[in-house]
Amino acid sequence: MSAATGAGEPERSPPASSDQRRRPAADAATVERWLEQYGDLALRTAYLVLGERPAAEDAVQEGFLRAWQARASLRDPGAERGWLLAIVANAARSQRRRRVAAPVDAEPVGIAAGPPLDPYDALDLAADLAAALRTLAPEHRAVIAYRIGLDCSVEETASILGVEPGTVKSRLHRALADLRGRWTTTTS
Amino acid sequence: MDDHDELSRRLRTELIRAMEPLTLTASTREGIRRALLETSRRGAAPAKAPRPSPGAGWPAWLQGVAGVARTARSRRTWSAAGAVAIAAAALTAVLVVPRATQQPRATQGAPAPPKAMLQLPGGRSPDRPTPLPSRAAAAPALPRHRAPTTQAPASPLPARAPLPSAATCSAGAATPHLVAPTRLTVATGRPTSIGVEAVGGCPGRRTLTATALGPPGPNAVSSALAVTRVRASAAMAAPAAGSAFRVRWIGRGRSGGPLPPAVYRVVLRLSGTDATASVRVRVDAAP
Repeated sequence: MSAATGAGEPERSPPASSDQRRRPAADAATVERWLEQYGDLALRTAYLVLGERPAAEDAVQEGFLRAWQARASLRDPGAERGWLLAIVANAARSQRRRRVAAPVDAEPVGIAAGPPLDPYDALDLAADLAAALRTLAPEHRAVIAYRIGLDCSVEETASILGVEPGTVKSRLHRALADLRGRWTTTTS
Repeated sequence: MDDHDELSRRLRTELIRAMEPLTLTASTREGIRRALLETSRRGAAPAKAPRPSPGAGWPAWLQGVAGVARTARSRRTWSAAGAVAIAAAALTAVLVVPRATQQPRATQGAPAPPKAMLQLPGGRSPDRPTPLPSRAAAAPALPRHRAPTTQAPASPLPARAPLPSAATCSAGAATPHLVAPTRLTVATGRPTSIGVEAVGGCPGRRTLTATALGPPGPNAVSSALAVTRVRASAAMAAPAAGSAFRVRWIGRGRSGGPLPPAVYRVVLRLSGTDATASVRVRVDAAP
């Protein structure tokens, strides 16, 4: 099913002429499929970590590259989406750490340095919901964003956040309970 | 529960609507596409050399004994046979390993490695350090009637003008920092000019080094496409005045052609100081 893994194993063998002819086409098809199926989702995943679109695009590029180089390690083609998004999220977190460590004094343009931005500030959310979300702990907001906003499964969310699936469930439950209380307070 | 469902539904609708504009731009897609295909075209990273087995070079029967010992150890089956094998392996290690790990001598049949390429100026070889001369031998033979000077003997290494050190820099003024644009967008194959200003005190002649890296990646692509190293130098005058550099940057791919569209990072460093800056350069396809 996955062209990445399905075509990957025989291609590792010593060069055969037919394989060599097929390989670029298969790779190109896989790249197109990845971009089509996961490109925007990966950008949103990275954005939720970094809070800034250009930085998120960098992270997507880096994450896709890492995933491409490691695609032979993907055992279960059905888990490709979660696997790829987890790699992108890791790339985004690495970038976030670099940004925190970067000096902020060389900033004539005023973009892309200094402390990470809050991703929810730039999103055009309804005011009441944005206010309620802002009161949640970051890990609770992340679970809501991935699980509900990006419609990731529990397992995918767990691999993106690097936690156990049970943690995702409990965090989501607590986050929604907190949010429900704050949201009804805000709206009432 | 109704509230809960209502909240989830509302959250989903709002988050999806808010994140809908977040889509990859065409240039980013193109950059990713090219980077991935370029990686494929070059092939996977060269496989690491297999680790030599612990008993490489041992006689076959000893390798067999050592293998049995390893198996026994890993399975924790401390049977009598395993214990004997471990004892035999230990004895083997003591007796054979030092001999097995010796490097083969270059004079024993195999051609010598091309050490000439590694020779340092003055005919020294890096694997044979120059013996320190005795104090008497190092002193130049001077005629008795001439007073000894403090001039050092001529060094076999070519003389290089010393750059001011960071210590010199920080002694008189604050360590400088670089002010550069954080991001640029350029068309591939076109020269790019990056204006950089070194602000803060640090009198002396400095060299600004710009190294382009990218597209970002853990290993192969970054290093393979590390493209251009540009040096520009300017004299930094008064401590407070700062100094302006202009780096003309034309990215070239590994084959010498134009850079594939992608996002690159140009790291700027000012010699003799700790000042660095990073510029994100997006290379777009030529219009």
